[in-house]
Amino acid sequence: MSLNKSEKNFKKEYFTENRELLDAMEMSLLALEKDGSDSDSINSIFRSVHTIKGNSGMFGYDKIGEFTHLLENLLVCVRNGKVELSDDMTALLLECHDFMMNLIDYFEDDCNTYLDPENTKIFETLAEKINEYLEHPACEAAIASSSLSEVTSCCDDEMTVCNDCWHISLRFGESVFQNGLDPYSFIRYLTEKGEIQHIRTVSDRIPEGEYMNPELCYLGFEIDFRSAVTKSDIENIFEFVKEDCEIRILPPRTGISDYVRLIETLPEKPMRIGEMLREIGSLTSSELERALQLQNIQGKISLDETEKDFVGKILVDEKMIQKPVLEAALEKQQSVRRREESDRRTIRVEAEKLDRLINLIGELVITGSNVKQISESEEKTGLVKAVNDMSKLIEEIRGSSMGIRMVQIGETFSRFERVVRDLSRERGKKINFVVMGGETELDKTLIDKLADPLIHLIRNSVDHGIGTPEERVKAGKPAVGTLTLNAFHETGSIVIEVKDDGSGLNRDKILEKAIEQGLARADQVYQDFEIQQLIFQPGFSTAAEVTNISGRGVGMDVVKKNIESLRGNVMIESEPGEGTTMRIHLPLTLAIIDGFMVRIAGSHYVLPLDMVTECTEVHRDDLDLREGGNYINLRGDVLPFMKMRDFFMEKGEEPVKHKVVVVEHARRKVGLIVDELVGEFQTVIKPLGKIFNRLQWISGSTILGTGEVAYILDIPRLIQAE
Amino acid sequence: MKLRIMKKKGEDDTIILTMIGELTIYTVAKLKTVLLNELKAFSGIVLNLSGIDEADTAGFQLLLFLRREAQSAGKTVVIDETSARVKSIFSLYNELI
Repeated sequence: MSLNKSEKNFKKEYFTENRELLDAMEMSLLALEKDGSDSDSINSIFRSVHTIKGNSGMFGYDKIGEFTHLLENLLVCVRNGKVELSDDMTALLLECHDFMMNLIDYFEDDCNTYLDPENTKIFETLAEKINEYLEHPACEAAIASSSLSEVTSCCDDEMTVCNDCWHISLRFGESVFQNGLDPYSFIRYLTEKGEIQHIRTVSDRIPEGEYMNPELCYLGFEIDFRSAVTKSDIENIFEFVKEDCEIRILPPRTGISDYVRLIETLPEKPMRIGEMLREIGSLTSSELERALQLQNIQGKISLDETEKDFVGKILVDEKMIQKPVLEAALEKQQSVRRREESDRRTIRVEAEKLDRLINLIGELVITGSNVKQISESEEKTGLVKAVNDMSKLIEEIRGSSMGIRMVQIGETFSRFERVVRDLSRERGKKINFVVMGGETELDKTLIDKLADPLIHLIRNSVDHGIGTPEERVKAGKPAVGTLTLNAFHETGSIVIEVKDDGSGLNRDKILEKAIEQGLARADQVYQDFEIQQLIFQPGFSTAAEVTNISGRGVGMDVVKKNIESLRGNVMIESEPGEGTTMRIHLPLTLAIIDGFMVRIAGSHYVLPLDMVTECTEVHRDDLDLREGGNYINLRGDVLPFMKMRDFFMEKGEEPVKHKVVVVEHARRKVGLIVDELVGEFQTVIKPLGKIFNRLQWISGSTILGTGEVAYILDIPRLIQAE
Repeated sequence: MKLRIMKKKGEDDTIILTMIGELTIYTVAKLKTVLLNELKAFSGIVLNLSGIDEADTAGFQLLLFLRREAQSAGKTVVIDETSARVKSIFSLYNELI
């Protein structure tokens, strides 16, 4: 199949859109599983499937079309309550969802529209399952009455319309508002009794300029309404407003003559009404044509010349020239997309373009810092001022361009809901999944790289942390466990917690296993903290049996490595019997940091400014005379300190007064004793080459204006080392 | 006062109107005068409705009216930000914001 470029783009959009729809469907399915009576969810699933079906039809993916059609029928039965929404049913629906996702992937990779044998087999198995439900007599009746099937849209009878929805035509009286009634509430109520397929606001009667009295109602609505209610049910909805509103209700599949009468009696011009009816789908083009012809023959209405032209135009557009269906349908798809996009007001940008921009800005920041340092040594006030202004701008550019990359983590979090659901089913556990801080923003690259480690931690919690309902009840806990995913900001880092209320880490079991696996020694006494670190050792596993998810001993060490490669770290907090919290600390951004420069002997070092909480001074004697450990008194708190000179084994004359930079990471504070505070310094992290891999306390380097190299201290590591 | 309107000049001869309060039958009469005057004075209106916590069909109708008036005068009306309440009305009536 050869495609021209625009068609290719449309295809790309088709796949993107369908994936979004499937995501939405998954969310709704999960919501539905929690609350079976949630009619919004089932309607939204229905809409997703329906749209996918429409889209697939026009791109010739008949298999997807066929499948969604089946699924749609099933959903009709579920919606009408003909089929019970059991756990089996949601499981089946989820299975169907996964299959459709597979199909989308399959067709995107492969350019044909046929199925391979493997997928055909799945297709048949699922279709069989669905048909089992559908063959139920109650179901057959439901499908027949709702007749979603496209086949029925070609009516044999020339004089009835195909549309299977009620048509409701409302013209509100001018005094509606003043009588304290709001059309909104009535139409809103309609949505509770069925589904508004289409609605069109008729605002033609609003007078112009000063003649318009905003306290009078000039509005009308044409509504295409799908519901199993009777005419009197609909009339009852509008009972309160019936004095103030002209209501016309046409039943599904009514005669065209009814529509002719409707068109005649409505106050707007026939063509305008006709167009609206066509637009909302109450009449098809050919039916509209027939209706208007009918009017002409009967001579009840005479179209004026311009209107006749208009009819002609519609006919030419719709029938004679036969605009390709694809194009028309695409247009419709585009307009839906436009609406969605104007809602969200976002644009899609290729990640690569963004990366290029960020890289360039990184270079700009370095150059800017260089220029600034040089200008300061030149001592020309004009230049210094100009450079300062420029630096400020660069900083702003940097800030907002980093902001572009920031994405809310909520979407990623919600994807885990399915993981938790599937896993807890499989393991026979009951788990309530709670997401907090979903609006926390972090770098897109970080989010992408976080997904796998997070899934692993979640799986661990489900597998090892939270027990089965019986075990939990025995331990005096509610049968349903809680797994919380939480994200928030904390002193320059982002913290993500995976928290369960399970049994906590089993100290003895871990130690026993570790000894067994040669990771620990039996004759050594371990602190809690050290025991916890054991589970991050390569090859460690406590699971009694190896499952397909965890227990193979590959995992926690990989999690730790992955997170450390993002300059973050993982901590465990665990209380036996109370639960376990895995806490991931991550830097805010990857490439550029606000640094704080200090001097230690002859070298410059940069600390991430976010982690610096304060600076203070201490006399040399106070340090030297201290006995019993490296602690100083910070306003009554004990503050451990590290003498950076000793740490880096720098020699030479020490200054009389030492500066202390207090840094904080992962809720621990440490004072770093340095020679001199140089000041704030915006810097781009240049990773060190491979040969420097073993330099533990340095996370990167940066080049100063003078050409000198400054090292960036790895504060998290330093604090851990302390 | 049920509706407060804050005015700020925008780019390209537009006026930014930030409304806080209710956009209902109780406020539409006054609001209409304000809106028409602004539409006369500027070539575009940008509405920030994020502070509208109460709205009804009368308010909706006024916005439709304003949009049509602007169109026939060759001017623009843009709803920049809206509140959930305003959004729910527009979406029920299937009108674009």
